[in-house]
Amino acid sequence: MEALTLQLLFNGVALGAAYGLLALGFALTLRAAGAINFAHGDVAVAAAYAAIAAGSLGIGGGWSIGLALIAGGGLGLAVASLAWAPLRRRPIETTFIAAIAIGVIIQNGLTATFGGAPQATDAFAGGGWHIGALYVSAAAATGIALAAAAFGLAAFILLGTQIGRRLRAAAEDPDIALSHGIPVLKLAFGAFAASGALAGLAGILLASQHFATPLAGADYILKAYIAATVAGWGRILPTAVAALLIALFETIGAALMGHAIAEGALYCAFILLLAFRPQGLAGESVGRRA
Amino acid sequence: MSAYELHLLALAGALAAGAIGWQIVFGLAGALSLAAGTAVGLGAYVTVLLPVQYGLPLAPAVLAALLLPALTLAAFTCIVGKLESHYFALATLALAELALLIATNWESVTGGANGMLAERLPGWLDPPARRAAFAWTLAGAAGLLFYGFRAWAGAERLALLRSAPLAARAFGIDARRIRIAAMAIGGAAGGLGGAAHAVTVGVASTDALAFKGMAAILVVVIVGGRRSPLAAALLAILAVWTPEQLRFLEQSYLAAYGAALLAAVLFLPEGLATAAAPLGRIWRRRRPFRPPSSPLPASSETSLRPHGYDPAATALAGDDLTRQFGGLTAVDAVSLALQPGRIVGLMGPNGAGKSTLLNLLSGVDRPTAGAVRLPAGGKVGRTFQTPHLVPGLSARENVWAAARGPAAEQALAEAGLAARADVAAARLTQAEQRFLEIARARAARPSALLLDEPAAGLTEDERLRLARCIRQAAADGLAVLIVEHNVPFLSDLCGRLICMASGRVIADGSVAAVLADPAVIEAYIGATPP
Repeated sequence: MEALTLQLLFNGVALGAAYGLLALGFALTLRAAGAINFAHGDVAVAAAYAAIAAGSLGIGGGWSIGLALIAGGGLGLAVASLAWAPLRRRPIETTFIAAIAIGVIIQNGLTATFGGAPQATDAFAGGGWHIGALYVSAAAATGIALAAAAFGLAAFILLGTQIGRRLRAAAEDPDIALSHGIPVLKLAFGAFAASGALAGLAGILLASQHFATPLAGADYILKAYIAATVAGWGRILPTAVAALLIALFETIGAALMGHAIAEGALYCAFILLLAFRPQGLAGESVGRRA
Repeated sequence: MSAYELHLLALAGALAAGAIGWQIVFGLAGALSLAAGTAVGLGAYVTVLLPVQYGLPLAPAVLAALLLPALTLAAFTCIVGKLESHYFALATLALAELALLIATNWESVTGGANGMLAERLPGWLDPPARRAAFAWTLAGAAGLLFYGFRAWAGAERLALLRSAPLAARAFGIDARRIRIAAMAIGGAAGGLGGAAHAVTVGVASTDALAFKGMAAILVVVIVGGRRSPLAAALLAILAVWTPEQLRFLEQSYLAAYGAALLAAVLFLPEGLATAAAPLGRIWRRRRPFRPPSSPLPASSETSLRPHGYDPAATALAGDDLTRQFGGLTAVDAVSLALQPGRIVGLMGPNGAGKSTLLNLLSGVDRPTAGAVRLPAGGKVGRTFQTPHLVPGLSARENVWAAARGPAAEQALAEAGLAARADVAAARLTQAEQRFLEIARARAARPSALLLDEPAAGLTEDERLRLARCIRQAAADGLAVLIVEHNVPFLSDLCGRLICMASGRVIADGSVAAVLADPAVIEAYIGATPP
């Protein structure tokens, strides 16, 4: 029993690493560009499929991780230039619908190309290690390490560099930042690219631990959204903690009650959270944001 | 038509009903719900399940298909109805995913991923032509729900809510209530679409609940037009027919939906219905609005007296009003009372809390402490520093957001806009827009009128007209409060002046006394940069 619990906890942490990456990227575009990217989950899925396709051509391992990063970043830029930049002066809902349109293209393009059946990737070296009763798969271990590295890098860039300071200034008031010579538009595009790359990494982690399906994006975006909302949008450590909690809830809940009920309970909890504490649990008020 | 074409026509009817449901929610009420597929799916399941499991006839099953989504979405919106833009959208997405999860996993009831066959459809629905007629009857019913909701809420009031939510709040439009009603009625229309779909394909499955159904609805509404059931009907036919012509593309036609959606958002912001509107106007030779034929009452017997007018009662009062934003106290224990027929000026350096006070008095914002008092049946009318109008509506339609009928005509006339009443607000000059806001406020017949820097940017002539307009309002029995920096303008109009600084009232009295008050002079000199 104890061994089982330990294994569940580890699996939860591995899943949480992917959710954390999704949530971090999701919050990044909101912070830098005031944009909610409704295609964020679909970008992750598409990047995972890019890696899967490359894998079937014999390009695997580290290459496929790089490919997922590039595909995700490129799709992030595509979302920025098609669904955000041209629509910035229009009602905010317009950008949502444009991003949803890109999501529809991705979902159905993938279904048409790969079929609707779940696909897995073996991008990471197979096998793993038995540590006592705990089985640590190489995929999960790599995933956790990569996510930790990405979080560390994000924290360093946002808090410790000039880019991060400019990004925060641009998020605070784009017009004033622009008048101080901060290239707001360039930063926003950069944020979309980084956010897409983070989603791509998350996508390939999820596809290697579980499966990828063309329609998984809605599920991903909800998990990212829940984590970002709970964490108060864009604060790095709370985002990681929230993502971990969600993944643990899902993993342990699924073991106790079955996957469907755990998932359903999570969505119900999210709706109630929005109803009664939309500013998140970490306290920062972002009710007026976006 | 062949049986197959009739089948497609029936499918189009189902899609049209679903799309009209979403037009009610997004097009009319401006709420971005991603649960349109949920309403359709619930309707489809109920239509199939009630006859199969409980032997109910079709008619009560269709009624249930209308009621269940309506009640579900209304209850859901009661919980999350106050959320703004993306919070609301994601909450509805969570609901949609939840519904999909239940439909897929509750196999004993829903048949799981395979869905449930509609085994007990009445025989008269066997001919494909009847099914098509059935589907389009339900689509017609969805159209009636659309127009019913629009009439209930008022087209102009809905437009104001969508494009100027603050002004809508000032006119007492309850955004949450309208959103709940829209989700309920839109859900009912979507449920009818689900019933039509289930009867047409003979099965209720997760297809309709999934994002696939939502995508088709999005395309029909965004490409066709957000507020035109007719355009939804035409686009639904097109959207059902085109994939058949593009069958060689297989699944990718759905990706083409996405591309069409994106192109429409980028290049056809208001959809085909609005793009085609000029053609329709030529065709219909739209009649200009004719104001009521009875002559306007002479100004002595004005129809713009406040509701429940009582010359002896206080028209508007604030008691110890306080408003804090985080650690900042913008308005600090301010009390004031405005009397009918009196014009009061409110001045003070920038950041003194004047606009916040106006927001509290007009109900746009709620005080942290203290209360606003109005006479029974009384209302507050206000204008904004930058006009909050519906740019696409005519001047008259903008006034209709407050009130219709002779009051609207007289308010327009008194604001000097009678000749410009049919011009779109976006094409009025800046001064005309200010006068239009005054007309809109007056048409609601408030007991107090609050004006936020009405003279800013006006020429001398326009300022004289504005002064006349304000005096007329006072003569009709309104209490008027004017926030202004222009001291000569205030001295001409006002018998009383209030000066605020740092959230408090520092002087209140006759114009001369306030202007000579040392505290006032210090507030202004202290606030002027050296």
